[in-house]
Amino acid sequence: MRDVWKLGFILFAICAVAAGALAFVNDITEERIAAQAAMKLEQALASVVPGADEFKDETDRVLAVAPPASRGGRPEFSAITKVYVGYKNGEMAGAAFACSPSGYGGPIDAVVGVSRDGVVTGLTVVKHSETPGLGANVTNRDFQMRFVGLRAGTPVKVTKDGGQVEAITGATISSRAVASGVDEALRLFELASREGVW
Amino acid sequence: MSFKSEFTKGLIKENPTFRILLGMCPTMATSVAISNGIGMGIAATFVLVGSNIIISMLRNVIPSRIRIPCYIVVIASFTTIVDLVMAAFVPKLHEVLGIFIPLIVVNCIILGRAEAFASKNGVLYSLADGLGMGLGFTMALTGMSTIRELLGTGTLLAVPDFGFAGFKVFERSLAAVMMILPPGGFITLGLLIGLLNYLGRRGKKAARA
Repeated sequence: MRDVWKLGFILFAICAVAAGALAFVNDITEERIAAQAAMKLEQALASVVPGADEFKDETDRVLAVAPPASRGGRPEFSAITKVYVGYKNGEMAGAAFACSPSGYGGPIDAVVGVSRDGVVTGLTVVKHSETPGLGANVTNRDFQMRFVGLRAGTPVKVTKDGGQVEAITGATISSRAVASGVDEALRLFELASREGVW
Repeated sequence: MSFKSEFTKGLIKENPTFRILLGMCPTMATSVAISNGIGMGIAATFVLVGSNIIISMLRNVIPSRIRIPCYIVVIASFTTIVDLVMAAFVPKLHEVLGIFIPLIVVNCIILGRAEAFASKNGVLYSLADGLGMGLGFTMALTGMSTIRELLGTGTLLAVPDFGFAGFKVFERSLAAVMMILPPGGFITLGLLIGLLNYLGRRGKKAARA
């Protein structure tokens, strides 16, 4: 019985040292990592809404137009996490929708840019955990360009589901997820325009 | 026992992938593209060397009855530290290797070497063992991923994170997608193990004759 206390104490000591080391490293790196993430977001926004020189987080104002979730149902626009409005010289140039639809290996964090007149101007995948070699190809420029030029009004789907976007070979689920993100972004854009948000 | 022999045994004679058959899960998952194979290999080597050194230093402190949880704490902390430091100071590299780092925690080569080697040997030998095993793992992944990427996509050395599509060898439509899916991984691994066994046996016969 005395052994249990002794072994427990040693394990506790090792865990405590490990926790201390992790806390120390986290303390040094936290700020830098946050800065990197902010810079990455800035770059992603600028790349999907070309021409805009300033972005404002207007998530609350835009998502306010979404209908409340019906009881027990999935709320609409549940994949949209943030909405940034891009301005050029104070005029709205477009909107960037950060969305996080579920892919094959987890959520795919992507940013979709939509111009003032409702056309997809850019798409970039910020973070994902799809299968390397297959679903991970959602980061390919080639694939992302397939969405550029799509218009609000028609649903965005992969060809297998009767849509217009060709899926990545061997990665229908990942492609479908990205398509649903773009689809939600365009629908939200249209709804917000109709409601006169911008 | 020498530094050199501890280092070289991991390359072929006791290759972790083809001989000891450890770390099969990351092998299957990352050997689909050469860039992934090399990335996983380097990241795993780094953690393996670090954890081998620390566990070798602590080998007289850790009681044998609770050694496994202690090893796991050391390995998981080391992996997290590597992950955070890379994200903060070399974000470009972290973007490419980042997805492999969480996989390293469950890579049983690292736990295996801690248990079978570092807990019984000195720091210098453990360092050599970690380096050799890590390089052996990297070589095995590179070999497997060369075959799988070539047959599965028709390209070589594609790095999608850098926007580089790779060198095209033949048309993608002629490629067998199965090769970059799990079955292709098992087939490639099985054939390579068979080939190495065959060569090893022939070498032994030649030495006897």
